[in-house]
Amino acid sequence: MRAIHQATLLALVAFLLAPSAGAHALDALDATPAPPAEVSTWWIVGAAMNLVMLVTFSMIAWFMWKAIWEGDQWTSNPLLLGMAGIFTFCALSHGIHFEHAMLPIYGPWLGLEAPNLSAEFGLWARTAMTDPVLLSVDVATAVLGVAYWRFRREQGRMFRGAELSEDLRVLEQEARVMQDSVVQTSVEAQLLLEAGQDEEAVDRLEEAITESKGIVDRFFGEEVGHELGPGDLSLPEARSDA
Amino acid sequence: MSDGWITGLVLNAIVGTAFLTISLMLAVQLTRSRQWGANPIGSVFAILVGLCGAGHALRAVLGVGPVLGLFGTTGLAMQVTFADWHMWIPDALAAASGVFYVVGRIRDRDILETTRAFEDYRSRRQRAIEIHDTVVQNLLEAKLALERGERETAREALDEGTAASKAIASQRAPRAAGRSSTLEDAIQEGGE
Repeated sequence: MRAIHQATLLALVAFLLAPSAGAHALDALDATPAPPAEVSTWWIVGAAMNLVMLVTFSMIAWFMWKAIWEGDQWTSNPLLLGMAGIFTFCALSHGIHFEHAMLPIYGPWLGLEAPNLSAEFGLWARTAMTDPVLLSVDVATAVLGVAYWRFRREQGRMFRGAELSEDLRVLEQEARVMQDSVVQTSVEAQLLLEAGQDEEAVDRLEEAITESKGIVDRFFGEEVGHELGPGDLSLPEARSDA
Repeated sequence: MSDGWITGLVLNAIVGTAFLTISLMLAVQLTRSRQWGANPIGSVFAILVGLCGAGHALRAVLGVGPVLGLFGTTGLAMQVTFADWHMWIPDALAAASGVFYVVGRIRDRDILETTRAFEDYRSRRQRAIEIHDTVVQNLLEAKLALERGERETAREALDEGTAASKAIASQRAPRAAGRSSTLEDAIQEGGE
């Protein structure tokens, strides 16, 4: 399964980069056509939105790479790796769009002369940003990127680690199991203890302990494919320290 | 200008298709489980990925436009920017990541049928540790204390364990927040 994922990734990268690194790469911009005489000032909005996307997507990507690194999930979690790649390279792509639009400002100042770093190329990049439909999509994406962070901050208690989106059904199922099997039984044990029925209280406590251990097993057992064993409930850094 | 822009166009078309597919997968699950309103983060995330995909797909459409006599200067501008090979690297890697993710998601049945983008195993492990340390340990301590006849210690440990399990349950059920949910609450409400 992992081998298939890795082979797919490598094949795709090789397939997509081969033409880039080969024949087209060096002569792609040999003859950049003359830029339009006038560019609509809407490019400023387009460039700003690309900058916002660079920042928000980079923040999302940062959480995921941190989780991959700290949790040592490089090979065990292909979906996390794939999503981290999506946001990282998408952020980079929007960053390059922003950089291109800024070329007419900083290019001459830095004395940049390569065709893809010229002021003329920057004017073309600005022109590409002025398409009204593309501009609308970029504005909406940037606004939603900011909205995503706002919602995430407001509802942060639901999220841990790198999780980007939760499933309320799964959360509620977990909560229901905790509520029905542990909280209720513990409260019953409390009431029995208050009533002086210690033996019955011990019975209820045993039930609650078995159920709560079962929840821990389910949480963790699904990941490793077996029930908890000694040392399983320690974080990788703690294991390496030991 | 060389025809290097075609590489950029194809890459953006792949990125757009992959991202739109991911967004559609999430949207289907949000619709099936009626979470569009109740799960703002999941909903915004699905739309965000979809819009990002739409942006890349639109760039590809604009780039191919001049071939069909459409989009005039804007289309030509898109071709010129596509011809920069610097753009091909992040777009190629984004395309590879997108396809890799879609293939992985289709194969992972547990994730495919949820609105989650993925499962963070480290966070899952931390949740297990939290339940173990705050609930299981306190309940075990209460049981052992009770068996030894130390009722006060047992009561304290049981109170702590119960409070921790209530906190975890309410944290994981945002839609149920505010409802009375324990036997204790129900008894109190009944008495009022």
